[in-house]
Amino acid sequence: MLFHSYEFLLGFLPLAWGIFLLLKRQGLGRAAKCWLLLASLGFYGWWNPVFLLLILASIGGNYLFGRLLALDLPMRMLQLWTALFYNLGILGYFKYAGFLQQVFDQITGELHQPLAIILPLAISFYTFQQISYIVDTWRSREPEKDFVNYCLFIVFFPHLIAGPITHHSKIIPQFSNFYDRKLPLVDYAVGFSLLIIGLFKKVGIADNVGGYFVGTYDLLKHGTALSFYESWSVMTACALQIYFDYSGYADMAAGIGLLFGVRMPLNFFSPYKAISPAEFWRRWNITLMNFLRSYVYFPLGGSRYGRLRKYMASMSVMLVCGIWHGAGWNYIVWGALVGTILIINSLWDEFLRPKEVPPSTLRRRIGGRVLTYICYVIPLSIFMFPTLDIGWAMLRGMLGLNGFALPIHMLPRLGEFGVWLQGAGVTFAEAPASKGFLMMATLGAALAVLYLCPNTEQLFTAFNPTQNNIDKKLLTESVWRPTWQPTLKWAVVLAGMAAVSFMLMFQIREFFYFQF
Amino acid sequence: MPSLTRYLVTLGLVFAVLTVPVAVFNVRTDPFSVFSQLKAGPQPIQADTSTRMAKPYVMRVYHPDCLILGNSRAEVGYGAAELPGCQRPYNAAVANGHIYEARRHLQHALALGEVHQVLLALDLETFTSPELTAPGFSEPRLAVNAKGEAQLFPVGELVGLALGYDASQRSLKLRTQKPQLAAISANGDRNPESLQAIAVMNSSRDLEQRMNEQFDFIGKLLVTGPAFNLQDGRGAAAMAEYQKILALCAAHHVALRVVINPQHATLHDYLRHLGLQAAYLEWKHQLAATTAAAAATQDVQLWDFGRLNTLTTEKFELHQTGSVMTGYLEPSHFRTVIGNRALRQVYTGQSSGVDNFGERLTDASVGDDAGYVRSVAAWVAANPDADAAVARMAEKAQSQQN
Repeated sequence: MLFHSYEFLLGFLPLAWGIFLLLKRQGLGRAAKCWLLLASLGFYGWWNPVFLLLILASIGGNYLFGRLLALDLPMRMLQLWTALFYNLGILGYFKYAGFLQQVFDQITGELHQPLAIILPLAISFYTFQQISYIVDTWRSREPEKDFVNYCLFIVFFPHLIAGPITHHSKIIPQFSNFYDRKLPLVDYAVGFSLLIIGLFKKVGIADNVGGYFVGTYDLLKHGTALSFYESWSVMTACALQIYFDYSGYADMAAGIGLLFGVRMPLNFFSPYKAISPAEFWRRWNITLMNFLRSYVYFPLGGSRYGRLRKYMASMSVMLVCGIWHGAGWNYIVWGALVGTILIINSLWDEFLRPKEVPPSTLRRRIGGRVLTYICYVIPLSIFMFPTLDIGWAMLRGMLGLNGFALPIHMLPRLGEFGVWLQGAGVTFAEAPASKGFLMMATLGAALAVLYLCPNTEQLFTAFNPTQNNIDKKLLTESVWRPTWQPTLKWAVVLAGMAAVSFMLMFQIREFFYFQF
Repeated sequence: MPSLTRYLVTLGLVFAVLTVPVAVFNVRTDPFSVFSQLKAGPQPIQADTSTRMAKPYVMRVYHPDCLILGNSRAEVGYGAAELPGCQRPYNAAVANGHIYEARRHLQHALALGEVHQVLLALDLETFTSPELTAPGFSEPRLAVNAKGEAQLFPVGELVGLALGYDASQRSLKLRTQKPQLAAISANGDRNPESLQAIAVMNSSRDLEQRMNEQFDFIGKLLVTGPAFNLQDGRGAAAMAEYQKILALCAAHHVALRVVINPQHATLHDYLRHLGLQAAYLEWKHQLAATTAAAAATQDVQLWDFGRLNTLTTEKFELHQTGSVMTGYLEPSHFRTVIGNRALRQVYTGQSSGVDNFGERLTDASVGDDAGYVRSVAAWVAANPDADAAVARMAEKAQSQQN
């Protein structure tokens, strides 16, 4: 069940929340918790009930491993590795066995029947969460004893499907809120508002800009060489879609979490406003990057054992990040590319950057953001396509190797300016990936939202909508700085956004051929 | 904190004020002819573009006991009332329907009630189409999933039809334009009056242009993707779907009649120019063999109306306007005057009186490939202008593929 479906918003959520509130008001905190667990399992099972068995086996196994690690028996390290293999084995089988089989076949020249393995929903998220729980329990010897708490920490439906990756120490203590009979109206007001903003980001912006990226794969597959302009247009559409989609989802998750009295960790903080690639990755998918930092980068030595080791750790983090996203060479190459960019960023910081940090001027900020954007979008062109050939075809266009011609359909609209451009040597040609001025206007509007508006954390900063440890100065970093208040004006604006989102959630795809 | 309560109430009220009128307007206008079915039983479907959306809902309230399955040719060319011994016959064929969709609609009907008679109308495109489903098809809309497991009623889709932007846009258009003839009758057939109006309207257009539009689309269905064959890829998958339909009918004791549509000679010529004549013949052989094997244990027959005869070679002038073809709307879609004649032959054994029209295919009787090739060649020789036009269309389809 998707957050942006009518079934969820008008069926599942009101039911789950309504019964939860009833139980909470009656002082039945434990029952409220059990109900939430049941609802979350129902939410997961809606997609494919069979995989409930898998997630329950994963949860049960990890709970037992946690309890075992607390017993302080001999060979704790062996117990830890067994638990890790248990998690990675499940993940590896469902997510990577097919890919490994392909690689094996390519190396040996044999041809096996492809493994027909369905990837269980959210397996990467719940596996990583449990790995962090196991490692922390091994360190602290303090497992979660309440099985319901542990289950709910994993399957709590707002974060179950697409994160954020939550940490047990930050989520489980909040379950005690269920025992409080008082209804935190402010959380509900903020929660609904966040939910609406997230929904609008998804269906109002992401789905619209994403429409301009659809079809690119087919064009490239059939050998169309995209020009510099086309390549950057469609990859901008893609980059914007991914951001608004994922951050919209994170906002919805945070909002829904608040309805149940649980503050989610912050997952996005205006990554495109970063002025360096390293900063970008500190603002993008924050919980995943934190996980990788804690459980890959630091265990590999971090910056404690010299530069070379540090760069290797950085590269490993991004390779794991790539592989986590999916099984395919495109993800591995993407990880290597981003890792390389981060190492270059680090080398710059250490050797080339002036010792005295220059004042942050508008020109520097714009320059930094443009560079950061390029460093994000170029590897993305590899990430987004299932084969490296197609990724390379897109990259060729982005590097200008297919020419710099502008779309010919623009020429009549440009009038005298178009004639002047031609006189200045600008060429115009067929551009199948370009959708004209509407595309430019849509992407321009989305970019304006991205760079000029505050993010949701800034908008709701007075109400702590998520758990974050963001620098206070960054919370005011925005060209336009409105802040949310529970006022009539905000209620009308957000209700309007909700109504528009509800109208856009359902797109009827019709078949227009049969019209005689 | 009263201001918070006021905020939440205002938020809810404004949302309701903005959405409820839209929902009421859309439900009352019913631009996709869905709510009217659920409210008052089977009703005509207003727009031909809504059939894929509305027909599954009609089936939910109608519980058909006899079905016609296939693509737009079956929807236009056969009348559900011609199916014998039926209380609630329904034409569930939909434009561009792949055989997979036929199977899914059959499963849907079987899950909703007793079905005892099915007419499955086929042509090569129902097997060659690169997509299993056409835009507008929705799996959750049907009563069971592809594995046959029960699914919940698609409430989400109905909410979308009440609130959605597309539905609102369509409602506004309907409210502001002149009332149109319903495209589909309550039994799923094309509305004869609307068809006649379309035929007359088409007669004012250059027929070659009309053919171009149709054949352009058909060409995409035929040649998109790797070369078609029945051993692997989409050909094998489609044949597997055919076997699933046979199995479903066997399991539910449904009498199945499979017909190869009476397609016009121009389409046979089109297959020839596209290099698909051998594939067409192989497809017929395989259909015959598969059906013959199934016929040993179930009530199934395969009939071939796809041969060239006086009906399927109806003459037309490419650039003539003002005249209406009698057997066809245009060379792609045959009319009920031909389709129902075929049904009478299948169900009552009544002779059509037309040579070479309708033959029951068994494994043994599908051997006259040379005769078929000769008849197409003879038509080509007698119709050089039409053949030249078809050749141009085939060339265009192949160049688009490349």
